[in-house]
Amino acid sequence: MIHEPVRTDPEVAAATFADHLQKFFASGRGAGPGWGRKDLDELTTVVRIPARRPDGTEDFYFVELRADYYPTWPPMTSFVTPTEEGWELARDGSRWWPLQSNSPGFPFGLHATYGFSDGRQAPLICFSHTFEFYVSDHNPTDDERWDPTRHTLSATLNRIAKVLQAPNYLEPSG
Amino acid sequence: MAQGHDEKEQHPPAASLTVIIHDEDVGGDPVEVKAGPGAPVETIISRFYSAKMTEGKPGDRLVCLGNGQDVFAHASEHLGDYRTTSCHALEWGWSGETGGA
Repeated sequence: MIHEPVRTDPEVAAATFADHLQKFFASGRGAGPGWGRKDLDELTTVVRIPARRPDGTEDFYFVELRADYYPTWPPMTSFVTPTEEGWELARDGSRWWPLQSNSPGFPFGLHATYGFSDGRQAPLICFSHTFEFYVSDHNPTDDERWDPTRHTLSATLNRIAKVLQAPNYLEPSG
Repeated sequence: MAQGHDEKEQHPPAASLTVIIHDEDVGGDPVEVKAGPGAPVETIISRFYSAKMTEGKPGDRLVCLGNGQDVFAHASEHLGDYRTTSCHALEWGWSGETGGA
């Protein structure tokens, strides 16, 4: 990685995050059926994303977005599980971790466990529109790299939405 | 009257179609491109890039949001035929290249 990520001024991050979320849900996929959003704080939201299996069965997943480094860097992005206490990372083998083929038509990988640059082992939604991609020893080309003049959280959510459609998406992993 | 006869012989102008194209990398208001049903799909694609003030790149994706299918693969078809046979709502989603594995 060329540059070490630096946290965005929280007021700037929150204002930009709110503006881009509003735009995402105003038109396109985000305005469609099955989508929803629950803001946890000014820098964190959980998005409900619809999914469709090859046989037409409809599911949905929750993806948490965090804007600590946004918009200079992509949102921190993870599948999460609803619990009585709030939200926790979704795990492979659960209802909230999707089984899919990693072939949505663009380079993508969903890893149940991945080694991060700081030594952590954690789930990784691996493509160039998540923050985690840049702190896990990946080197995108200039055209692939997150560019805040060309990308917003819309890019992140729209790609994940495509992943969760048949034929790439299969069913919940548990 | 001869004039009236001529009017009966003429075909009414084909109603233009509106294609709504979302920049799925940025979000916000979509681009609307109007064209007649006889216009090739590639013409709409070209107008979209002109509206974005950019040129297409090899890693770009353009899909019909109704069925997820690639629009570029239908570039040589007439827009009216494409709407009838493949993408009824004419609402597309554009995105650029991404990396990942």
